[in-house]
Amino acid sequence: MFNGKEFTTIRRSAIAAMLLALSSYSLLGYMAIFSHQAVADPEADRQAMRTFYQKRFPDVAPEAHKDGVYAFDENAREQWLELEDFPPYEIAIDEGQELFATPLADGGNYSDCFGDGAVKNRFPYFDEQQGEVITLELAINTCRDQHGDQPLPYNGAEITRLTAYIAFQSRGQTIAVAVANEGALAAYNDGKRFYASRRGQLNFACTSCHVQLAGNRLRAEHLSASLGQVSHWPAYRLKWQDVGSLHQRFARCIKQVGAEPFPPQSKEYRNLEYFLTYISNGLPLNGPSIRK
Amino acid sequence: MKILNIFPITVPLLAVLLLAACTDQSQEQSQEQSQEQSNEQSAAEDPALLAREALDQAQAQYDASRQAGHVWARTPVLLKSATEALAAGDFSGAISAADQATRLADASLTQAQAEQTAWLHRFPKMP
Repeated sequence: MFNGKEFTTIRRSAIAAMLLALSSYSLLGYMAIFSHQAVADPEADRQAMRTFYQKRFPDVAPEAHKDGVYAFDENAREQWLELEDFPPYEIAIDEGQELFATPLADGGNYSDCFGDGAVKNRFPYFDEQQGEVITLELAINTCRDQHGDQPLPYNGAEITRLTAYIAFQSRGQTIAVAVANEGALAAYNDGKRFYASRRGQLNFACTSCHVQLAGNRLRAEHLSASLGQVSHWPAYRLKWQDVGSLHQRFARCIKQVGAEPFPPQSKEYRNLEYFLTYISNGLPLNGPSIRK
Repeated sequence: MKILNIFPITVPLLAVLLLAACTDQSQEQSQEQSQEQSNEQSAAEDPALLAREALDQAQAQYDASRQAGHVWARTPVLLKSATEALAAGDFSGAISAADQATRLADASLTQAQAEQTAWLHRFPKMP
């Protein structure tokens, strides 16, 4: 049917076609994976995280991660529950309540902006007009500005006491952050990238400890899961001997890996908080709390 | 007619003038070059200038790593100690600290570059 020369030509063409098909298939597959990861689908991310932690901690319900490591470290949980009998953050709540009712410069007070204070589940959110993530702390300073008062420093005691009171008033609310538009998606993605980017001289990402190594020990302490990392703030840390904010905790982690921390309420930390809060959607708020 | 008479004299005269001008210019150039060389030599021998250069380079790399959002905590510490050493006249100490700061800033920039895509692979994927 074919002579030897024709047969060789046909065979070469067939091999070339097969190679082309294979490389196209690989390229398409790679593009599909890459585009799946590059174009964020927050809900797919959240589901993937929940599934991952369910496999990692089969005896722990996803909602139980609101308690951090106390969800799976029995000994630490017992000590924590004992501390909760006389919680050291109570003073901060009382002081926060007083500050909440204290008149601002124009005679109004925080209840004009936050009602009875049970508003924590509204934060953080993406403000389309301002084009940025608004956290509770930012909203507190906006409220002060509207009442003709000076903004509070974000690493100061006064703002942390106010957020402690608001967190206490909001206990039991369910986290329900929305990513509803392009700007919000960009902020979510930015926070997600921050969480997974290696930084500092130790070359660690947040995910190194809280995803890849979650549940393992770092020295004497267990590493918590990403789920529920934002549910219980502000927290009284025994190490700080005071109530501190989530952004203070971020800064501490960043410093621990040998990187220079960002200032509290920086765009980087607000986007990170936005991402982490979305991932914890469906979990109850239970701040303020106690942590080592 | 008169023009033709002076032509034989004019041409050599112009040639001589041109040659003199060129010689002057080349002398000036060589003087400038030797001045520059001597400046460079004195800069190379001046430890204060060398320390200043090292510090400027470290500062530039630090600014670049800050821009990339990947500053390593040790870099500003080294920059500060280099600045203080320079102010105190400890030029070798300043150069040493500034060089270390530059190396750290370089490494943090490499990290920032690698992380532009590497972060994408650190999350669990949907089964």
